[in-house]
Formats: sequence, C-alpha cells, structure tokens
Amino acid sequence: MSTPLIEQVIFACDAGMGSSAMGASMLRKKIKEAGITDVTVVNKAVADLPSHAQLVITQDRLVDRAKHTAPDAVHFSVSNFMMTPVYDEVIALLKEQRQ
Amino acid sequence: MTTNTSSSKSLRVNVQKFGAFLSGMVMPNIAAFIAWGLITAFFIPTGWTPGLGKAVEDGGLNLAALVGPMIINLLPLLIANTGGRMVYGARGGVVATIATMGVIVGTSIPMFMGAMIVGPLSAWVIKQVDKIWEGKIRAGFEMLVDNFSAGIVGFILAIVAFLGVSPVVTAISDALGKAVEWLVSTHLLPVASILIEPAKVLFLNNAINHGILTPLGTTQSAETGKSILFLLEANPGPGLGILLAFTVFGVGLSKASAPGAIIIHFLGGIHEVYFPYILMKPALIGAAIAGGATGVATNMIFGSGLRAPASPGSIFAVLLQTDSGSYVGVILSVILSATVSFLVGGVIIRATRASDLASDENGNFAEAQAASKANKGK
Repeated sequence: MSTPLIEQVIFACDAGMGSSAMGASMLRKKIKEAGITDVTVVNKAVADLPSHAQLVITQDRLVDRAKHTAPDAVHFSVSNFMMTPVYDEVIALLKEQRQ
Repeated sequence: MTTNTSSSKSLRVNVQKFGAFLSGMVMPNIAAFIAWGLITAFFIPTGWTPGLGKAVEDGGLNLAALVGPMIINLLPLLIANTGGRMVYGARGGVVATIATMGVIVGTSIPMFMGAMIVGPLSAWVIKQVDKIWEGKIRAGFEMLVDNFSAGIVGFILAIVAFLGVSPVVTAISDALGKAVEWLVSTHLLPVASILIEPAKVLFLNNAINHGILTPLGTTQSAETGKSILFLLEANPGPGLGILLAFTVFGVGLSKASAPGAIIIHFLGGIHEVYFPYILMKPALIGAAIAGGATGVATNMIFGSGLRAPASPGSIFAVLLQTDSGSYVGVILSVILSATVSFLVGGVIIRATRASDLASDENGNFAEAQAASKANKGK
C-alpha cells in the first residue's frame, strides 16, 4: 500500500460525542497493547472531519458522508462496535507501515 | 464503493447531513440544558429544595431567579452561536447571537426554533457581506472594517429578526405545540414511534431527538414543568429489550456480544450500539416500534415526562431529569417498553434461529468482515 505513514486515526460519528468517543477509547487501548506509540486516536463529528485526515473509521451508514468530507483518507467502516474485525485490521495496517 | 451510485444513496446522505446540521447546533450545548434541568429540579416551588429557590425576603437565596433567564436567553443564544460558527466561524457566531437576540425579545416563549433559523442565516449574511470587500481593504483598516461591518450587520439583523422573524416563528412554534397537544389528547402520540424507531436505526437519532424534540420539549417544559417529548427517542427501553432478546435467544457472536452492548446502551446511553443488531435482522424494527409505542403510551397515560433532555439516553440521565411527580410513569415506560420489545424480538429471533444456526456461528461476523472490506479504500 502506498499510503503515507499514518500518525493519526480519526473515529467519526454523527455528533462526534457518543459512539466515536467509545470507539476511539477502545482502539486507543488496543494500539497501546500492540506497542504502537506514535499514533494518536481522536474522535470527531463526520461534518468536522479535516480534509487532510489520514485514516477514518465510521459506522457503515455514515461512510458516504465521511468519504465526502475527507476524500483522501483511508476509510474503514464498522457495522457493529461490539464485534468488528476493523480494530485488528487497523492495527495490522499500522504495524505493517512501521516495519 | 463509490459515492452517489444511486439517487436513494445521495438522498440518504443529504437527509443525514441536514439532520446533523440541526442536531449539531444543539448537541454541543447539551451541558447547558442539563445545568438548567438541575437548577429547575432543585429550586422551583415543586423542586427538591424549594426553600433555596425562594426570594431572600422569604428566607431563601433567590436561586429560582436563574430558571427563566437561562431558558429564555442563554440556551437559544448558545444554539445560535454554535449554528453561526458552523456556517462562518467565530465571526459568524457573534453575528448569529446578536441577531437572535432580536427574535428572543420579540416573544415570550423560548426561541429555540428562531435561534436555529436566524443563527445560521445571519452567519451566512455576514459571510456574503465580507465577500463584497474581500481583498479591497486598505492595509491597517482591516480591524475597523471587520468590527463595524459585523456590528452594523448585527444591528440590522437584530431589528429584522425582532420585527419580522419573531412573530412568524412564534406562530409556527405555537402551531407545533398545539399539534403535539392534539396528538396527546387524541392518544395518537405513540404512532410517532412508527417514524422514530426506523429513523433512529438509520442514524437519524440525533437529528430527531436534538434537532426536533429537544427544542419542542424544552419549550413545553418551560410552560408545564415537564415534557413527554424528551422520552420519545431517548427511552433506552426498546433497545434494552432487543439486546436482551439476543442475549437469551440469539446465536453465535451476536448472542455473545449482546450483554456488553447492554451495558454501553442502557447505562452509558450510547444507543448506536444496538442499531447494528436490528440492521442484521431488519424484521426486529417491528420489536423496536412496538416497544417504543408502549413506552410513549405509558407516559401518556401517566402524564409523566422529563424536565430537560436526557442526553445521552442512559437510564441514569433519564432518572436524573425525571419530573418529581413522574417517577412511576417514567420507570414503568422503560420497563414496559423493554418487556414488549424483548417479547416481540424474542419471537422474531426464535423464528429464524434454525437458519441462523445452520449458517454457521460466524456467518454474521464473516459478513460484517466482508462488508467492512468492501467499504474500505479511497
């Protein structure tokens, strides 16, 4: 993958206050457990995504909006926060970039 | 995956965007609604510590004096400022707030709807005005021009809002309030669940609750001390019932993950965690509607409601904002709505249990994985 080195992961939801905050704290924990120290995880509302976002994780119902506001980012979508492979996929990508 | 592959998709995106715009004006300010709800809960004559609310000459601390100005001025102005900022940054927020003052003093009711219209519109006006002399200001005169253009535009917009917008929005607001009263008096309000529950699951939950119900409910609460509207979307009962049904009757990963989802949904108030369980088995929307309507009907029968919005929709937030005479109705509405959606959801899950088991325990998980792969990429 020719993606530039990802240093920030943005978790986005409709309001940027509820599920994105929860998802971000779950991912933050997993990233720490994976021993990755140079990646920050933040949460935002989909409408507030910066256009230069690198990696964006959203609910699959919101991913079209997220792609519109941050067209250049790598987008992951989650259908169910409670059982998703996305956290592990993101960590695998981050690890791969750091080898 | 590409965007706008069909018109229904772009419609969905546009509806979501408009909804997010409405709720985006209100949600960052929910803390102020909660503070107002707490002040009301403590200090009004029917509150928990009415003695402190009384005037100083009557032996109190006059703290009830906070209630009126906060709902009339503070809450709408905060909404206007946030709405203005969304359109045109801090400068838009300031002009939006000035103009909204015109709508507020032009009426006696809390002007949430006025703030949500006039705020963003005023920010848009100053944005257009700024474009007129963009790049044409002589060096050193920027601050003078910026301050006076925004000040003069605010001055004009406040007058227009006072004379022109306020009466119109007051009339619309009155009509909407009457429509809600009519739905309650004709016992039709539970029908609202037929619209609200499916919309919630399509991630329009914030748009409906904070874009529409919070402003209407707060207006009603200012008059009567409570509103049933705060519970139409925020009642955690229906979601709890569906997750319980998965816990008991589900198979595989959905069964295993449901108890954790219950904690996040019911105690933490993040309703988004139960939406995927419904999307996985769309027939379950029937269970959500039945549960939602049961909850609304219960509150309607008991005349119960909340003082201020419960956000997030956690059982703790609901109980903290429950009007002191409404505990029985509100608690019953949560229990009954959970029971009904549990029973209906249980029947639906049981009916498809055989095929779910046959399709391998990891079927849904693999599907979710495939879907997430498909959605990935640029």
